[in-house]
Amino acid sequence: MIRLLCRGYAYPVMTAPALGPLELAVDHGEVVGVMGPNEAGKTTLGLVLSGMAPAVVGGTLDGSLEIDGVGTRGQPAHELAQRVGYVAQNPATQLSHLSRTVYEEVALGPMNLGLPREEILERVDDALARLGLEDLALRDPRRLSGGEAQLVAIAALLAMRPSHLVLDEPTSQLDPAGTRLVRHALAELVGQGAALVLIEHKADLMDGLCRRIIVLDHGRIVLDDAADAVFEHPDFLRLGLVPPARVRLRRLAASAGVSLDPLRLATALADGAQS
Amino acid sequence: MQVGWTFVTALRHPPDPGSRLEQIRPVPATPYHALNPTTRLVLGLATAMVDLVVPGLAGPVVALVVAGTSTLVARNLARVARPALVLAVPLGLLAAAERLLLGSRSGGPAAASPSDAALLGLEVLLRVGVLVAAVVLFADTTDGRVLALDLEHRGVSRRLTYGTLQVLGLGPAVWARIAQITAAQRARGLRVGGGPFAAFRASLPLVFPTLVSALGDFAEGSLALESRASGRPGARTLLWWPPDRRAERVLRWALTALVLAIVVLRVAGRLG
Ligand SMILES: Nc1ncnc2c1ncn2[C@@H]1O[C@H](COP(=O)(O)OP(=O)(O)O)[C@@H](O)[C@H]1O
Ligand SMILES: [Mg+2]
Repeated sequence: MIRLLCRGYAYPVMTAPALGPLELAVDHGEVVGVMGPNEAGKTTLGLVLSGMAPAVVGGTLDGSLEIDGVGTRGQPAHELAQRVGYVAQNPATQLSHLSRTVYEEVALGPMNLGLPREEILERVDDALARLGLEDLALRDPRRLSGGEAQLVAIAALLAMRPSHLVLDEPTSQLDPAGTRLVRHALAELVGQGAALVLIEHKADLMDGLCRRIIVLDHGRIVLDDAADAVFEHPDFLRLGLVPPARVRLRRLAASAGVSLDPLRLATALADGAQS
Repeated sequence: MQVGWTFVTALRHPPDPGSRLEQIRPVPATPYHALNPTTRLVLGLATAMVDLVVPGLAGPVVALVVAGTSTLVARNLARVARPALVLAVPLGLLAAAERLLLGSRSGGPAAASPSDAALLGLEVLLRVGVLVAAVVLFADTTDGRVLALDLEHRGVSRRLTYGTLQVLGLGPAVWARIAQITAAQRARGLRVGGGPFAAFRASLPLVFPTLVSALGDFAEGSLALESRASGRPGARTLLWWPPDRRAERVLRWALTALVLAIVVLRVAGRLG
């Protein structure tokens, strides 16, 4: 599990903290969605939860981050990376520019870990298969579309086999099919006990995947509740956030005097997404 | 708790590890491409040194033979010859004209003979052309990522090879972004009059902001590398590296010795 106590985190040179005070614990097998307006501190929270801030980004964290009961202070980035995997939001900057093929790009992390070659190949084949990327294996990473690059960046993270995951807008450039692949791969990992923090604009991706959602504003947690309670909360709309289609449809119907069975609506929407 | 990663996903094409490794190795298009990238680098550098340091026509002619043969073997004549001629011909003409009109530097007759001027023009043309050809041939046939892999395999620090690749990537990144912005400006109807030079001048104000944002991307990229354990000390596992042959090793040492000898002789004033 990931446990963060953050009295304040400030970026290098900055005096005012960009994040906190806040406390957050994410349990094994739990998926927490993070939403909030622009500049709310979502990305910063992701960096702090993965230990990349302050370990790589610098700055100062007043507080502590514990992963599976072990403090992270002073741990080097390459050890943190095996405990909490982190993918940043911009896929263009996630690829290394060091690899000639997608296969080697996904292999980069395991290669850096100095693993035996057979294990690297096994991990890469597995990560590619999880995201349906087998056919891109021999492509030059420089010739990938934004969505493909995003999938490759996530596959590269999976090949690291971290215990837990933090993903910053992992589907921003994906089409519905790609989004479904990511969602499926993530659900599998959570089923195996990973804690997952998902920073997302798209409430529809969250819906069904995250039972719990927190909403950030000005670096603080303003809502932390079950997904449905958060979507219904007046502050959620006040912050300009958009609930998933299921909730919007039900509200529209209600305002038109039609009542929809929530369970059947959810099933129908899920079926619609499948086809 | 460690997540149970052990279960195996049903794979659509059960891959054979050996064949995977065969597939990700580049297939050399010509015998020149089959040379180890470090050999190509040393060959290019030695050609350039001979071209520039050996006085008279001998240096550039020998270098021309080497660069020309390599280019022909690499089947890269068109791409190499064009930039070489574009740079070398005007400079050669300029040198000949200058000698003809202003005379030699050593204070001789005011105007040199036409044959003297032509000889100088030829020498400049050859030196510049061969230099450009050697550089273009190497750059055009060598993937920086493969060279970096080869150097890493030889024990060069990973920070150095990674860093060099990332910094080399910065220039094209800035350039691509400027092209993107100017295309967007044109699409919105912004007209830049004049020829390509005016267009170039109009893009100058974009250089600084694009460089800043490219540096921002650079920082994000470094973070992405760190989150894939690239800062881990110690050797990493390479999946493959470019083959090297005994003959190539001998060639590299011979070329290095040759260049050193030329430089020493030149400094000692023994080469005229
Ligand atoms: N590298 C940085 N240095 C200084 N301040 C930053 C940096 N990155 C983000 N910030 C600031 O931190 C705040 C939160 O930003 P961010 O976490 O990126 O928000 P979000 O992801 O929710 O849009 C913003 O006020 C932003 O300006
Ligand atoms: Mg963000």
